[in-house]
Amino acid sequence: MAHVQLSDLSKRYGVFQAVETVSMEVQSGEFLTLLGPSGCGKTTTLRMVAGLVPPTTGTVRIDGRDVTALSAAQRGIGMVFQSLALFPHMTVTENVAFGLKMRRVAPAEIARRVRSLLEIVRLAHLADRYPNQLSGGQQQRVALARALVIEPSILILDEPFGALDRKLREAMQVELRQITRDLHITALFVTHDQEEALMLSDLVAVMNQGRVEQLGTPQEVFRAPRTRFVADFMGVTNFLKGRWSGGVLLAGGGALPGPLQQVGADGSTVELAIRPEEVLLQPGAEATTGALTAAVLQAVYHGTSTSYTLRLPDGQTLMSREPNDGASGYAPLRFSAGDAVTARWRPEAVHLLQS
Amino acid sequence: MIGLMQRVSFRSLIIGSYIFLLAPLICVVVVSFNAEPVQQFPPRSWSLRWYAHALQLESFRNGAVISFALAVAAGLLATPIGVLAAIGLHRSHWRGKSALEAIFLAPLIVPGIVTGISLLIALAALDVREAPLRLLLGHTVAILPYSIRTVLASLARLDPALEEAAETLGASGLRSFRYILLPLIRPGILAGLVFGLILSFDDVSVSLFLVDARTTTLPLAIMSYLEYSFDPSIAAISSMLIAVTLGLAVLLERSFGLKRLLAG
Repeated sequence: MAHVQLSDLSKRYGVFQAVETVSMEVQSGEFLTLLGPSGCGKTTTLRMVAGLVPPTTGTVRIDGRDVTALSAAQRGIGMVFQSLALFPHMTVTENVAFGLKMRRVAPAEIARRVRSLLEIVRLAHLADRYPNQLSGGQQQRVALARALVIEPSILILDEPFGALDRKLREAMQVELRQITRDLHITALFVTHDQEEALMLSDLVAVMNQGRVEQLGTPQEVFRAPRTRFVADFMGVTNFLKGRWSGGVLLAGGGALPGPLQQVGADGSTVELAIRPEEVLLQPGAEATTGALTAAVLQAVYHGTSTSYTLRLPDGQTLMSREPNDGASGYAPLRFSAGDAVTARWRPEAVHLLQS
Repeated sequence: MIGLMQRVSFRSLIIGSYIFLLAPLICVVVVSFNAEPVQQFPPRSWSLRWYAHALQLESFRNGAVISFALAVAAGLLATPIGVLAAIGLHRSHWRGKSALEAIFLAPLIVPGIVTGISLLIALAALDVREAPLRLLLGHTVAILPYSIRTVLASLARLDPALEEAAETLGASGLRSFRYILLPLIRPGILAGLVFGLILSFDDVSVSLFLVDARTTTLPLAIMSYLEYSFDPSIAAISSMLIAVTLGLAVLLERSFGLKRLLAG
């Protein structure tokens, strides 16, 4: 419902720089996820937006208004905490009504809004229970309803699904996405789970050591990681070193399939990433342009796929992963250690990384 | 066979311990119903006369009123101080925190007699001479650690995100305290208050140095009575004290569960 803008936001605790100058923008109704390993500053960034941590520098704007100096109570942001933080001495209804009561909304209006929110999260039948009488998923929905009932400008969620088992977690993810879409809510989400970030978000900001490494749509960060950290976090396991030579990228003892946009002068080196599933293998060493010859070092059967570790002529290693679907699932493995193969991939499968 | 023997010996150990702990109390209660003017166990004839006698004694009655008023006043004074101190200690992160906590809890460890003498000297130096005021200050200091301790225990069990959640929902400062913090630490506060009441009512060593001829507490009145007479009215007043304390303990157990409060 609101547009959020973070400008040069940073946080320093003594000598520890938790967050260094984060700037980003979330459009009204967008779902943005801060993704990164623990200690990368994602939660601190989120808490600065919520008003629970004062930033060392920078500003937070909501709908153009500078709210940096406002307390959390004055910001009108709905937050779902990692521990959920349901009030244990209050029933579901009282928990959800709390924010409205603090805003001195008329009792009849409170009752109406609480009921409608409880219906949205499908908890109307448990309205008089206490939090400790609810299951994990139900508690989750109470926390969500409590944050949403105040009609927040932004919804902030700090790893809310961490404690749930996989199945429940997936159900809650779908439900959260549905609710934020239906209510057209601007949401900021924090997680360390790559898959969760990709499935929930309109935008993903991958954070590392207090910085945003890459901000983009799920497809962008997954398909076109810009740094080694992002590529690694997105599950890319192949990293090669290459060298530019007249518009051609040389790596692994051959020229990579093009066309590639040369960055930097001839002779400058570059690191590139390729998803193992993009690397296609053909039997026999056949050195042509846009293909590399290699020797199979190891073949590992994973059930739904088979992975091959390859050694390239210049000594670098490369992984290839083939799906075992259709007829190939029943055939013997195509290659074994020592076989000579030719590896090729589509030009767009190569990601040039910034150093 | 061995299992049975173990069980039997374990049971007898427990029963023995209980007898050891409770026998004197039971003795006192039984003796209090003796008709004769001597402490004798078991009594040969029964009567409630010593209860009547104890209730008529001026020193016991005055002492009971003072002890009761003192316990309530000290409890009501120590509890808010204890709650605020505990919240302050719980939230602060500065280096002197543990030292401050130790100072607050010191009266728990320092023998009561030392606390009493220290208070006597300090209050004399401050020229506080009125016994009621001295008793009130002394008892407040003596029971404060219990209040702090029980409230700290309740606070330690709280999720720090609760107050943050209240804040994001629009409750800042006082309202967050009133609607979230206070209801959640109420069991700890009440437990501290009840402990304080019992301890204050029961105290001898601190009071000993702070009373004067006109103002004395019930336990001290009992002691001075004991110096001159040894009739069962002592047992009668003691039985009444046991009954009151037991009543409070049952109330505490019913409301919050003593085990949970003491575990903190």
